[in-house]
Amino acid sequence: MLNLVRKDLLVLRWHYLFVALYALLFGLLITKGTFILLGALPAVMMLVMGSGLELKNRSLVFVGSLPVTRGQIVRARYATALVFTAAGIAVTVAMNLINRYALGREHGFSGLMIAFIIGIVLFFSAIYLPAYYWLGSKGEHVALGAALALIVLAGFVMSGVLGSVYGSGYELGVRLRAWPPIALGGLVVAVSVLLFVLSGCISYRIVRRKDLGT
Amino acid sequence: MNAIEVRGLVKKYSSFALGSLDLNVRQGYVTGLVGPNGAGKSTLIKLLMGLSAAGAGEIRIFGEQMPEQEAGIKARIGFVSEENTLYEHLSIDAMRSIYAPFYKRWDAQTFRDCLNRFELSPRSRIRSLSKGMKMKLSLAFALSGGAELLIMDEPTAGLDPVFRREMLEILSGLMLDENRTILFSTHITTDLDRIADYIVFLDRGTVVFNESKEDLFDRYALIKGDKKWLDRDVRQAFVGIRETGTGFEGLARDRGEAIRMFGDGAIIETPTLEDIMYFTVRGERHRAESRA
Amino acid sequence: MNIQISNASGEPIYSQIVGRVRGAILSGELAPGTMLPSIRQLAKDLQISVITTKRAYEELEKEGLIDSVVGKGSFVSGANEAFIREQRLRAMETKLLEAIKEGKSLGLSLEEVIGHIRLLDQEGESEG
Repeated sequence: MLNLVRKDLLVLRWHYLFVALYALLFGLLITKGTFILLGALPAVMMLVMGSGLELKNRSLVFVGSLPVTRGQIVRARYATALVFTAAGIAVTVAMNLINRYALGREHGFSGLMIAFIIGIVLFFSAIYLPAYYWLGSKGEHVALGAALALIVLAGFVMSGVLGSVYGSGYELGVRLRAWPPIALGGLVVAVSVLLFVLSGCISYRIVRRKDLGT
Repeated sequence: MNAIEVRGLVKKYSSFALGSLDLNVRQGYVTGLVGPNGAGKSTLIKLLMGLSAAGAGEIRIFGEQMPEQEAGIKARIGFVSEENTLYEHLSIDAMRSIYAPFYKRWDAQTFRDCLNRFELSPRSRIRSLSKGMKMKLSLAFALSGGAELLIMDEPTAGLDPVFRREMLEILSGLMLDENRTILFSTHITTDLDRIADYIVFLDRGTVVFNESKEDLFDRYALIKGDKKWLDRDVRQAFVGIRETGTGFEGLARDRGEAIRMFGDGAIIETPTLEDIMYFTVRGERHRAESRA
Repeated sequence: MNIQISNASGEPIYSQIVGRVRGAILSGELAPGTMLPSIRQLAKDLQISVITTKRAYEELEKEGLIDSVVGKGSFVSGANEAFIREQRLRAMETKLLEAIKEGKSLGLSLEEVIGHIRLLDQEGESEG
């Protein structure tokens, strides 16, 4: 299974440059509210680019012919999503440090942001991956479009939530303000992890009986 | 000993059904899977590789159950797919670094030798390779994983005669090792006339025959002669007949019987696989039509 | 040992191999005890199927021309020349018997059959 994760990471190659470039540009233009998107988008981009490459190369046939089980194929894809999530967080932390120490800009970076990044990426993966396995190359663009719209929406909603928690004005924020950040972050992470695991089970059910490469 | 055993295998698609199939692929030999387009060759291979899930039936490879034991089984199989499934945007060497760790018995030397032999550079981008080169590369990967069983889906389709010859040379070289088994599908039957030991003939999703090529060539006879011979009894002796203005040509079910029947009155030849395939399919279609 | 096989001759490949090896043994080109290429090696060299070469070797073994030792390979049989000659004589007799039978069914006397054989022999000599 580790070899499968390794494959997913190696396949991207120069696509990483693209992600890094994006992070740098976006990271320098950052404003307070969009910090979450800064971290979530690269993770999502990598996941989407990776599966796009798989589809373009009909590599489900390739992967299916390797000495691995269907279960391992699915688990590895989800593990890769976790690695990408971690990479997204790393990007945010790095850009925050650059902003703070090199540029002297303070964005009020917090643990809650990390929780929200985890939440968004896992939420996205939980929707995108089963759709990817279910629809295959036929509906991948549909799945991708829908999932991307969802994530941008989620990103802004969460940014909004975050803004309202610490700023003021939003009705939702008023109610959430009562929550300590740690409980709010914990809730977001817990729900997304739950969805993520559930999604993994659904993907496995899809892949178990799927005709790969037809 | 059988490398592959298939019992009661069924796979249904909306427009096509395979099976129920029973099949043995003997260890240590080359088995050719032939049949017209759409006969179910690729479907069968996908089922054997665990790429498709069977509707019913049992597949055993090396005596172990597919797909329950798929990881262990596939570690011993080298697979060459009809279409390139390697990552087009990678270089050969990058692809190797992804592929090799999956195989415990990966042999770096074999891989280098293959690349040299096939005149492939490790730095070449896979996308830049011609169809024949990609096929060679797939073969190099399949051979370097230490496979005991090589399963290939139409490996010679769309390739020039020079490469097809080369490929047959490689395959016959592999068979020096009596533990190796090769199963490959093709609709270019001349590839099999020489090197195949056993022939599995699929038509419309069922096995028409599965026997040694020697037996096939002994049993069938290709008869060419005057149409005046063709009465109802004589027709019965044929698998299929093609009649023209100048005479007839047909595949007789039993060589001995044909010799008795025609003696010097007709030309009696050993058929090629293509003859056998052509007349069998033709005969079946004809019988199906006359029933309808 | 040189073996050439033809795809166009119409003679089955296994029997071409048998004929070639038999000829080489009977002519003394292959001395008793000489090791023959393994079944798989021969199949590879001729690029034909393993079963075909196997069948050829089995045929040769049946004729007493070669011995196969499991795990060691196939060798030209040590059987003496008299034995080999006898084998060939017996093969010839079978063919003659067939000819005589066919002649009788055509209503020919034995003398007439022999006459045909003489005639064929002369024809063969004048042609060759």
